[in-house]
Amino acid sequence: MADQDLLNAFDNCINRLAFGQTVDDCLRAYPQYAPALRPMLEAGLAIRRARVNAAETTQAQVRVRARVEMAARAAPTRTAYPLRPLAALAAALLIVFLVVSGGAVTLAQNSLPGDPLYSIKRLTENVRLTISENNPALQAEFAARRIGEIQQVLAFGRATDVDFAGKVEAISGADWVVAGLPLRVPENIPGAAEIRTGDEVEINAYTTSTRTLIAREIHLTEPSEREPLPTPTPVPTRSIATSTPLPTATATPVPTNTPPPSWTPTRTPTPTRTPTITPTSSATDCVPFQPQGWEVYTIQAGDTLSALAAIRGITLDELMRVNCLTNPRLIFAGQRLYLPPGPPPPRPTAQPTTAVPAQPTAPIEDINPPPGDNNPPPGNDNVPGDNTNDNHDDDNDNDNDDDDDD
Amino acid sequence: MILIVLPDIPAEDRLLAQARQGSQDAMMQIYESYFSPIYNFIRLRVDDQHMAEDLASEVFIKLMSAFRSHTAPHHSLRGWLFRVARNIIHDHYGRARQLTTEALEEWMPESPDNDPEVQFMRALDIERTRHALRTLSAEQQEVLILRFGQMLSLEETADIMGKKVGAVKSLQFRAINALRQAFGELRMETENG
Repeated sequence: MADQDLLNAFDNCINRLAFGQTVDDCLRAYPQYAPALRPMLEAGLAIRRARVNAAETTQAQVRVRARVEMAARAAPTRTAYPLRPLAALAAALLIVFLVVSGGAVTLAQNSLPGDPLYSIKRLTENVRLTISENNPALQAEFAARRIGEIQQVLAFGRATDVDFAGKVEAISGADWVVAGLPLRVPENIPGAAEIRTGDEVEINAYTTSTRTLIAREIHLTEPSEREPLPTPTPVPTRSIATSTPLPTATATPVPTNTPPPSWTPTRTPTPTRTPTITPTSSATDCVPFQPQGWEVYTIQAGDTLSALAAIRGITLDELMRVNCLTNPRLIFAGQRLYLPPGPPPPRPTAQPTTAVPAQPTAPIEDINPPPGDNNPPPGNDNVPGDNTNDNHDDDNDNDNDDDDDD
Repeated sequence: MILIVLPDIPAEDRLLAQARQGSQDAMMQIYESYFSPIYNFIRLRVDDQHMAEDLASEVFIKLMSAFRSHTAPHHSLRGWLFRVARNIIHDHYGRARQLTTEALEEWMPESPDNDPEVQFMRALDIERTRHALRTLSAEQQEVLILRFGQMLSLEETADIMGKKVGAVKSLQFRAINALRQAFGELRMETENG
């Protein structure tokens, strides 16, 4: 049997690599084992590099899709209820309530596609648009807000439905860039073939947990039908004002970039900027990403990820994805995380009674508080020692599903 | 003041619930989300690209029929998919086709920082890495792909492989050293031939 300490050190180093540390980072933590660990970790990195390339994966994904679709169709088709009547009524009542009570609207303002309150956010916007008689500035503001929301949803790796509008900036096969967003356009989407770079389009799409945005429907925006929006054209990194209360009638000016070179009806082949997108490859190459408006939070002794997620109004899953955490117990005092702005978590006594499913509060091992040498990206730097044996994972209800043994 | 507390179901569970209700949309979203990791897992184990595709499609077809027969998981879909993928690979290759790599546990050479072994590993191309990987036992391949390739936690890997956490910890240690030996043989071949 090999030395148990070395076994543990090796395991700990694998965790650190998963959190984005380098081999050297880990060897510094275990100088006594450095000569033994280095070749082992290098061998592991060779495996990581041997990932299938994105092009092959995408091709396979397209080829296999038809078979899976057929199998999906064989399942009993009961269409998913979009919004049940009762829920719609409740939402309607709530919106009236929210509009009346004014300030409370902000509650829904930070919500994202897929959140319970998101439909309320959109309803509020529609109400405001109606009241303002479709003020173009407001329309542009809301359009830009869609883009920002989608960027966040993608950053979270949240799978949900989204819609947005904007200009087609590039088309390269199935990979498009629309309003600054990388968009995958599967084959046989009706009408997609007619669309050219430079067109204004409305898109119904969905996001996947692998941070891919996939189109479901694409429509050319018809200028005759609607007010020509001051298009939030290239919105590379729109800063959506996540926490600030909504400006009322005096809509903040959207940074209307210089008007795009007007495209002539005779669609000359526009210089296609090839999008630099690798749609499917990001599943495991996790890099912590600071969503706009989020802050860096330093974990205090007594914090738990689930409590932090609850108090800041995101799910544990999103919190972990954004910060590239793989184990909700693997946090420690002093570690830095990206969090949406919000109140500080209550200290020991009261656990917030929020919507997140209650979770046994993980004991925080605040061993090795980091010697503040880490740089802005949240300190995933110091993975605590070794937390493996008989730690049950948080989702201890994933049992009895493995009935597929043969 | 608002007194409504809305349930905060993670997106994946919601999607799973919709798929169990028969929503094809939800099923296909699940497919798009998980194809890449599952395909990668299989492809590293299986040399033939088309075979890998077939096996991957089997995994997802199995998921679809699990939705139909109401045996699909309610949570932790990723673990479920990896377990199914693993079983399907086993079925194809037989559980015990393997070269052995015993007597490696204690193999622990002194490696200075610039040692040729590390240099060699850094220069390895994908094909040779995969080739070396496939000389390991099935379990050794799995543990390395899940831990290094997919960056799953020790706990999740243990769950997928149906092993105890401690056993996986030993296994990954043996596996990485087996891989080093396989790399070492490649290196000998390279240098001699």
